[in-house]
Amino acid sequence: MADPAYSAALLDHFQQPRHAGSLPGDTPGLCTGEAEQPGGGRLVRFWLSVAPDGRIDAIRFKAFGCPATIAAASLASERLAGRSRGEAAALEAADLARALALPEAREPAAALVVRALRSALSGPGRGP
Amino acid sequence: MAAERPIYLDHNATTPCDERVVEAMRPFWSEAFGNAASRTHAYGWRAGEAVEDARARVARGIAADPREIVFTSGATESNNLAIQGVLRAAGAGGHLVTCATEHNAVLDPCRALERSGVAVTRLAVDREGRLRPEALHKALRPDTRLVSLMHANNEIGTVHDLAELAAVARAAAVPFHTDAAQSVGKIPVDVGELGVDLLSLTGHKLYGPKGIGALYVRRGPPRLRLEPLLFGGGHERGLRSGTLPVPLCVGLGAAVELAVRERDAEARRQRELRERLWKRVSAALDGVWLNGHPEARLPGNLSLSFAGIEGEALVLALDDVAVSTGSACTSARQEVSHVLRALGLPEARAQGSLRFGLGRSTTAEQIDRAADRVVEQVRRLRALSPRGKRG
Repeated sequence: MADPAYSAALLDHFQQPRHAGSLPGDTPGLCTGEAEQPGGGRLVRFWLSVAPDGRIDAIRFKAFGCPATIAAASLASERLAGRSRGEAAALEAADLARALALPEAREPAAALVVRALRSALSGPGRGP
Repeated sequence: MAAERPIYLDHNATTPCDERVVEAMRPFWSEAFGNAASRTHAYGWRAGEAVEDARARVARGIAADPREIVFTSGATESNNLAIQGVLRAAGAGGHLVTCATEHNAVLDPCRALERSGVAVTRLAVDREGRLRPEALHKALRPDTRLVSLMHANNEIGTVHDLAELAAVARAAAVPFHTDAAQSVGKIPVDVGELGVDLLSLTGHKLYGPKGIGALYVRRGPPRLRLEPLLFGGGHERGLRSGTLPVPLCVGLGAAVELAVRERDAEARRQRELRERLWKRVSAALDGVWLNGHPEARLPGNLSLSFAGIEGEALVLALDDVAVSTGSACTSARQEVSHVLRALGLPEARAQGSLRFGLGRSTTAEQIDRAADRVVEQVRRLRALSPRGKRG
C-alpha cells in the first residue's frame, strides 16, 4: 500500500522527476540560482535557458531534501518549461503545495523551491 | 508501488509474532479465559498456573528468579516503573544519571521527573555511541538514586559494556536500571553477570505479542524500594495492579524461551547477513558510513549514512524495502534523531541515515535484493542532488 503521508501527485513527481539535471555552462541565455535552508537542510538549484523574448526554452533542477522538496522542484519545472519569465515569476509556493497536497509542515519545501526559482530569474549567468 | 510485500528489514522497530508463540497463546483467549487472580475455581487456577509458568520462562531467559519478574504492558511501562518508581520511593528531589542516546521511553520519564525537581545527568557518548565507565563514575553524586543506561541501542545497534558500567554504580551503592528491550533474545543477558538491579524487556521485539513486557526487580539484600505507578488490586506483589493479560503473559514466556534457545545460532546467521549487506552496499557506493560501533553492536542491526541524500527521501524511494531513518525534514529544518545528534556526526552524515534491522525471516536472497535496491536508489537520488557525495 502507498504511504498515506504522501499524495499520488507527490509520489509521481518524486518517483519520476521531470527536468532533473543541469544545463551546460555555455547554454544560451543561461540563468542559474539556488536556495538553501539554513543549517544545511534542503537545497534546490535551477538552471534556466531563457530566450531573448523571455520564454523559458529549457529548465533543469537538482534538489536535496525530503520527498516534498524533490517533488515541488519537479512540478515547478514541468509547469514553467516553455512559459514566459513573467509567468515563472508569478508562480507561488501555495500553488505547488496545493497541487502536491503538502501538509502544512511541508509547505516550506515549496517555498524554498520558489525562492530558488526567483533567484535564477533575478539575473542571467549567475551562480554555479 | 511494488506489488509484492516489501522486504521487512525493520526488526528493531518490531517483529512478527512467531507462529509457535501464537499457538501457545491460543487456548488462553476463549477456552482458558479465567482471571489469574481468581482463587476460588478451576478457571482461575488454570490461568494462574499459566501466568506463573510464563513468569518462570521469562525469568530463566535472563537468569533471574521468577519472583523478580513483574509483568507490564511493555518496555515503556517497565522503564517508567523502574525510573519513576525508584525516584518516587526515595522521596522528593535526588539525582539520576542516564545517557544521551537512550530511547525516549527512558528520556521522557527522566524529563518528567526533572520537572518535579529531580536533577538529571545525561552522559555523552563517543562517536560510536559508547560510554566510558569513568564518565559514569564522575557523574555520580551523594544524592544519586538511580543510574539508567540501555543495554543495546535501538537505532545504531551499539551495545554498552553493561557489566563494567553497572559495577561503577554498585561500588557507589546506587541502583542500576537497564532498558534491555533490544538485547534480550539477541545477545546474552544474565542479570547476575551484568550486575543490574532493574531490567526492562518487551515481547514485541523478540517475536512475542505487542502489549506485554516485564520488569526484572532484583530481590535484596539490600531491598530495592519501588513506588508503583498503578494502584488498584495489588497484583504483581503490589508493583503493578491490573488484571493480568493471561494470553500475552503466556506469549511473552514462550517468546523469551524460544528467542534465548535459538539466540546464538540466529545471532551468527544475522551477523553474516549483516556483513553481506554492508559489503555489497559499500563495495558499490562511495560516501557510505557505518553508524555505531563496528563490533560491539546488535547482530541484526546495520545503521548506515549516505552522503548527498536525505533519509526520508531514501526511505520513500525504497518502496519495496521496509526500513527506517533517523533523519527527517520537518517544517523549519532538517531533523536528525537525538541518537545521531549525540554521536556528533557531521550534518551531511546525520541527514542521510538508514537503519536496517535484520530478523529471523531475513534471507540472503532478500539481503542481496535490498542491497541492490539501496545502491540503485542512492545513485538515482545522488544524480538529483546538488550536494553530490560531499560528506
